[in-house]
Amino acid sequence: MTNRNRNLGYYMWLAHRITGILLAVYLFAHILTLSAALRGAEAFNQTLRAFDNPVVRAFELGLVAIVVFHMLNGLRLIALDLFPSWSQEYLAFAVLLISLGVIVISVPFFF
Amino acid sequence: MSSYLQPITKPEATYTIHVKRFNPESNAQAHWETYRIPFVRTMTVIQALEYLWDQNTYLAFRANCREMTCGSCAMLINGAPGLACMTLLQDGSRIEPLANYSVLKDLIVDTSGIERKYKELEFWPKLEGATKISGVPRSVLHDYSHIYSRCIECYVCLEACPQSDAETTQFDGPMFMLQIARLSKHPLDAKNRPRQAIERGALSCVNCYECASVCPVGLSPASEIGKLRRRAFTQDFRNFWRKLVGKEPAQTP
Repeated sequence: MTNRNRNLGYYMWLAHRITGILLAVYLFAHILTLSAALRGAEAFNQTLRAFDNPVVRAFELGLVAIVVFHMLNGLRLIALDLFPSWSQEYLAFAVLLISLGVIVISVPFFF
Repeated sequence: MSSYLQPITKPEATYTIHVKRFNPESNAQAHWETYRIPFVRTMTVIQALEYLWDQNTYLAFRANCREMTCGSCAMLINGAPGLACMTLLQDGSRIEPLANYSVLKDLIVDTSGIERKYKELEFWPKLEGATKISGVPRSVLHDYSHIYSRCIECYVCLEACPQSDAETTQFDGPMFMLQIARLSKHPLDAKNRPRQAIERGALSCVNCYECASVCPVGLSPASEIGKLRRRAFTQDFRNFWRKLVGKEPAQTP
């Protein structure tokens, strides 16, 4: 990749790929965490208590950001496929604004 | 080659440009060379290259119309694909040949693969049955005059597309998809063009719209790819439904 200015859609595509990979990695971590339930209620509670700290909450907020962006950008791509004449940049801005709004609204739920 | 530039008697500044040069007869690999260009306002990259030619530098590059009509002068300017005749010269510009193609000499690349692909993809109306048109829908005429006929086949979108290169990728690239879209609208063409687009990798398009952002004539090949994909899906869904209810699949896309 050459280092040059590219349009917003290019960076949205790149971010979609990166968030997709991160979500895939998170999925395995999530399943691994929940598998503690197989060892009994006390083990599960202990695992969840270990995650009850500000650092993990910050990561969870980051997870919300990743999920929201990936979902909204996916919807944007579907919209572009169904309605190719729509402006991809306007949709990209809308995705970013809504993602930012959801993240800001989510902050009080984590901290 | 004689330059179309008037002799530069009162330059406003002296710009430095870097050009990637390669001569297969004398160089083992490409190398950068630096030149100083007397700059006048609104000077374009192609004028700088012509100035070098006039100074007996004999830098090899393709050029023809110098007015964004022919698409010959596509190259990478500061890393971005574009036409040299419509890119204003900047101090410190880095000029190199298109990266997706093998270099023949200096800024000239081998585009024979593109010509071969045109023949593979049969970019002419495939006639079947009737050879006369009774009437052409206005929307088709509009699309031809506003979109398809405007493509100057400069290969800039092919260079910008992150999902296609000259030979190795399954996806041919935005310009070819635009040509397939053009033929899909031709009233005499009987080939299933949306299906052809899918077979040539239209599903690999990631909607990054880089092709639209670099197109020198303002086209949006990505939008045309989206339309082709939508028509292919509609066709597939219709055929699936028809098969489900025991009917023959539809022949027309």
